[in-house]
Amino acid sequence: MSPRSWLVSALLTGHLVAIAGAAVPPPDGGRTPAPEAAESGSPVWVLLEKAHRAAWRWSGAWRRLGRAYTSRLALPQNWNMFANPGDTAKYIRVRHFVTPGRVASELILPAHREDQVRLAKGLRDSFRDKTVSMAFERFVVESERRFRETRRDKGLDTARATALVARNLPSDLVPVVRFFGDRFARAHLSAGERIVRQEVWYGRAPLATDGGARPERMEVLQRYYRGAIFGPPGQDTAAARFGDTEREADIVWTLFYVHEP
Amino acid sequence: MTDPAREPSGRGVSLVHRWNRFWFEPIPPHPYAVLRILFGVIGCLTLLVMADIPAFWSPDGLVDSTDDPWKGSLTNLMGGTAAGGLLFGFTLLCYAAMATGFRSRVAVPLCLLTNVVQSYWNPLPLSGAHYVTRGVLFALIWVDTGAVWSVDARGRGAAPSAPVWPLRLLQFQVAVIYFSSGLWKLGNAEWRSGTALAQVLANNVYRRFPIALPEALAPYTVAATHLVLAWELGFPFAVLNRWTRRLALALGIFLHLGMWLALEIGPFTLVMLSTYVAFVSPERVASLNRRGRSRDAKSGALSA
Repeated sequence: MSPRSWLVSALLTGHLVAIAGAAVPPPDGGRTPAPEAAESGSPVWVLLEKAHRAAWRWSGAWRRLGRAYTSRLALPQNWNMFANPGDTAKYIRVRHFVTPGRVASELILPAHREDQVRLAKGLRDSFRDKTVSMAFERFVVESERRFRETRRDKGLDTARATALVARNLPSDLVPVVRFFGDRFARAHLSAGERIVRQEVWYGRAPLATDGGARPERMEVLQRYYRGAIFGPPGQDTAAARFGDTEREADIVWTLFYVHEP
Repeated sequence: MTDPAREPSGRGVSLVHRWNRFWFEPIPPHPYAVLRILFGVIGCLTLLVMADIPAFWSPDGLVDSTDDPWKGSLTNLMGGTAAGGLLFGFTLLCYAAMATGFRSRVAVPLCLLTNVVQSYWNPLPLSGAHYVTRGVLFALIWVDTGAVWSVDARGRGAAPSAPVWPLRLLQFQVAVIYFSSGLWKLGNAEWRSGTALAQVLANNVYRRFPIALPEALAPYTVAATHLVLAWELGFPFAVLNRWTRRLALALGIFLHLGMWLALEIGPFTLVMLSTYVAFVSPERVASLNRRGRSRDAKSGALSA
């Protein structure tokens, strides 16, 4: 082998070692707080998880170097697809408050109807769903980070730290409310009307592993599928606060974000 | 790179010889051409599905609002929608050039560049498929992917051989993707208990069909959950041997197609299955060319 071949193969090996290091995931699946180790189940899982935890402990420098290298090369190695499937169905709706005194809610996630087969339009919808989900996920991660830091740095209890973070929420959902607000305004607002407040509500419902949504939930969803749902005129525009909940059939909605353009 | 007639002997020398062959053995350039065409076509199709410029490309749309100086100055210079549209058009052009093999040596690096730029411009709609594509493009930039089956190759003589190491990079990247994905799942109680796959299949955001999974299938979904986990964790080891590699790839095709049938997950299935070309013997891929030629020759003789 020529010196050049030795050099190239050493560089290639280094590259592969760095990629492998950057791809080692945390044993807790990145969740905070970290769950307990696999206390139940077959010994195989316990053994595998113990090996994973040991590898994680001993590979700190390798992982850090790998991450630094792959981020410089713009080759991220975060392969956590479906790692945390969860046991709830997820929904997101935006509520628009229009002056004078009109309120409308629209379902923005998922983009498709749950009672229909997803074909070509489903592919297009998957990009919109990914966009909304990703913006929401970033918002939640950043909010949680701010909450943890506020609690730690200011020594506050949960309620006070939540109130403080609620006054300074991350901007990750701004594109979402702006996009759907513009679309709503084009479709429904007349001259002189404008959106004064927008709310993002996150809905959770039991995951129906034995079939589609329950009939009563489907009834609620059908109303959203027909278009924006207008509420009673004169509704108090500043009624709901961060963390408030509402219930529709088995969907529990929680207010996560308020935007006042 | 090594003359078989002068193959060195001795254990140490043999290891060096194997190492040399592993990285630098010349192979036919056809696997690279197939990867170029597949990822060029997938890139074009994905962009066409995302062709809603005001939604996915304009800074006034569903675009990440992070303050970015170069994004801001480009937007101020020519207007947000125009800048987004220009990026979309240029990216589409690059992928079209890559698919057809027009100026491949420039088109492939440009595709990699636009792939990175796209994730700075708006990472929100991008899934794992985008980042797998980046890994593939990173492997392809080191080799002339347009040596065969391309516009570039028209009028050229016999195609020169290509080095094997970019293919090795890609094989390793795919193995890392599966193994890492398996480790992520291993940390989750639902994957260990076997309920995860049923939950994934019932996910209201991804599910393709509005029908119930028959209760009788429950034990099978538990077995399938563990099969997926075992397959992902075992993939890097299975591909080391010729026979287990076939099994791992066949299982991969089956699982990816099953996932595509049950779930709407964008271009991910297509992207992952396309990477399997890296695991097919380069000589076998090149033989497609010879078969095509002999078929052409036969039909030419018949028409004559």
